[in-house]
Amino acid sequence: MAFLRRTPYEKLRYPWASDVVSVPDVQSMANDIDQAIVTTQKFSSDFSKFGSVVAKRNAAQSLTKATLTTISFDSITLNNGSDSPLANGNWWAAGSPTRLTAPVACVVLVSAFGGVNLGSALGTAGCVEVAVGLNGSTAWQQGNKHSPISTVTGQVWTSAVSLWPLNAGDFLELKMFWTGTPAGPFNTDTVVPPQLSLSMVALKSVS
Amino acid sequence: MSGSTTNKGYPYPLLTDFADVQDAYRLASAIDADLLADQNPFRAFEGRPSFVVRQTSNGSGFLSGTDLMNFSAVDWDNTGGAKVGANSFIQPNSQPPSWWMFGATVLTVPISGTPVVGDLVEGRIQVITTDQVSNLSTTKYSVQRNDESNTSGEWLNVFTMAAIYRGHIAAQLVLNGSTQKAISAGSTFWGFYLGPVT
Repeated sequence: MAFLRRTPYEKLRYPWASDVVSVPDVQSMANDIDQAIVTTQKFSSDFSKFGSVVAKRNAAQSLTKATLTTISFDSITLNNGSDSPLANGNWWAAGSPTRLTAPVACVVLVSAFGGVNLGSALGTAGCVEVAVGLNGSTAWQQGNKHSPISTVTGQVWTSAVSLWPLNAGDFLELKMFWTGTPAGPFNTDTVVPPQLSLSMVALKSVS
Repeated sequence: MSGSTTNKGYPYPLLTDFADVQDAYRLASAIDADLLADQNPFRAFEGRPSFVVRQTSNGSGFLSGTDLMNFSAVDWDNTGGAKVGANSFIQPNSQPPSWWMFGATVLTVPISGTPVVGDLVEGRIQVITTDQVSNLSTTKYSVQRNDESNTSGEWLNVFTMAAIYRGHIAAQLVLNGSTQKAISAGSTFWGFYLGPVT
């Protein structure tokens, strides 16, 4: 067998210099080309199959006044991480019902949505808020907060869109908050329930 | 080496050519470059450009006007356009006109006085882009208005899609009120590439 070099990108072996091309040389080169084409085929098959998940809280969950409350999901309508070759693992598990956990390092686009069923009006200084937090911390959250009309009762919703860079094992949670004149507590809305949904939009690292 | 394959044009020797060990090198190099070119669009899709930045300390208080979010921390950036200390994302000049999505959570913090319910509070994304032909710049805004509720700061979630070329994109807080507020630590600004404008 000749002294073999490799090409710069796909590392295909080839004979070099004054060597005479031998059968094993050709075999090595053919095997490397074969493997490189398999890699290319996998790229073309998998590239758009990012993982995604939709988690809801269908049953009413009590929200204490002026307390940021983490929503515990009881309905997962989409959890296709294990079907995604780019995620290769589920985002939600029953053992950690508040969390959507990243199986791989990735960037995710997140939609957060939550409603509060106001038993009485919030009054002048009141608000409803939805937030997405990283790894159980309140140090970094993205969301939206608005002040409903002071006399409004019943269902009030708010929503937010955010982008998060995640490492494998990082988790996101949906949180809700309200405050105002009433003592509460109030429940989350059950007609259009709180929902956290996300889709991977990129991998942090592509080999 | 005077032959080439029908579809990809990979070089190979003919029977009339002098057998040369470098024929194998040329063939391997051609296949190598071709496969890399085939794989690159998939790599680009899986690793699409994006950034996420934050302001990590409260800004200066003001009553009325506009302030820009500061990029005190770059939590993620593979675009090259989000720099620590900057106030706007700068689209790399090498990028052709392209579609992006941008978003922000602009938080406010009271600086002095008791906030007055109903004072104007807006979160805004400013998009400045350049016309590729005329070289003229245009500025557009996307806005979320959540007026003061006097509940320990406001949260304004604003997002937009835009076609940009040599773009400068910023997140802003707009106030018109009677007590001082500022952009709060924890405010976040992000963006990601959606695709080329063709």
